[in-house]
Amino acid sequence: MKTQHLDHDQPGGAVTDASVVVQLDPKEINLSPAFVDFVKSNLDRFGGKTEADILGEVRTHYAISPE
Amino acid sequence: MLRQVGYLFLDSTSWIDVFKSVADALAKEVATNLPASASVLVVLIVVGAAIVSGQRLLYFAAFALAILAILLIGALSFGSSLPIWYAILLAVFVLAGAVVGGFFMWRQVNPGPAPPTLVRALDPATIIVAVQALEKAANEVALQLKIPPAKVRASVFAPTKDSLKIVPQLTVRMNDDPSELSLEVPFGTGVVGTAWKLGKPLCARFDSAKLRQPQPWFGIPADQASKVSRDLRWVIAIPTPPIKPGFAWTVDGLVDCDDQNLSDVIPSLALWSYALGNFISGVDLLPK
Repeated sequence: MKTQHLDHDQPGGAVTDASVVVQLDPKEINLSPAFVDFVKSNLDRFGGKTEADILGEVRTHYAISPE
Repeated sequence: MLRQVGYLFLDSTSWIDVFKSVADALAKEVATNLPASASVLVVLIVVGAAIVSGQRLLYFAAFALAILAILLIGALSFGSSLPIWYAILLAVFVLAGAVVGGFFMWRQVNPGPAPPTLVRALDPATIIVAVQALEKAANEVALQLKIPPAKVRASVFAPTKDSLKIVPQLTVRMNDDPSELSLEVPFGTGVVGTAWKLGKPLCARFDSAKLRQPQPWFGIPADQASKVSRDLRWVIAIPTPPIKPGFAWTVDGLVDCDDQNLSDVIPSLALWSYALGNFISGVDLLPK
């Protein structure tokens, strides 16, 4: 995962300690037990896709998203 | 030339001979007639440009020019014996070409309203499943940050003309102050507006002392900043889908955490982002 810190000196006065833009790395996207349970209990809402199908789709999506 | 072609049709014995003869006659005409050569050259250039650019307008222009070139070559062949119907036909073709070509060019400059997209209403079943996803995403973040789930909230923001507006039905634990549910953040300001502008997830952690001062937050107008909970410590904003988002959603916390932990939880939200996109993409989130 790549991160980029934003400039805090912007007009308007950012009051953050830190603000970070994140470029997701597909390899860091993994299934969690909560998500697997959620997909299993809402299969009809995901058009019959399994959690593995969804993981592959999301990883592909973030892999092709330009930097 | 047309007369010559007509004679060739009458004299020929087979269709292949006819085509060969026609091609020969055309080649001779083009080779010996400067206007004809120029016309063919122009048509070939436009056809080439159409193939390279793939624009339908150029294909149309090439077709119209080819018809015009054939008619002009025919007219030059007849010379002074050109019958009046031929001139009328030529004028009709030129006029029709000009009208249709002009219309296509006008449509390119003024494309008109976008075709209507299928928009569904935000029905109760969609609200229930989307709020479940928000809640589970917030709980997962709380678990990873080792903070009480009750202190982690989540909200969906829908785009208006120039801002992002919170969707009150699609929020979790946003019950500190009702005015927070009318929050509207201009594009490019605040955490969610900046994430929207960048088309990428953004997380920010706030200075708790400065949050209590009456100054704009990350460029948010003061009237909107005043609606936000003074206990807010951090926000993660995710435009969904990335790059060209249709909506954004946030997970925020009312207790502090450190920067590294905050950015580390973002990959786990990508899947919840997919789920939310699956449920509410194409839904009218802010019905009038």
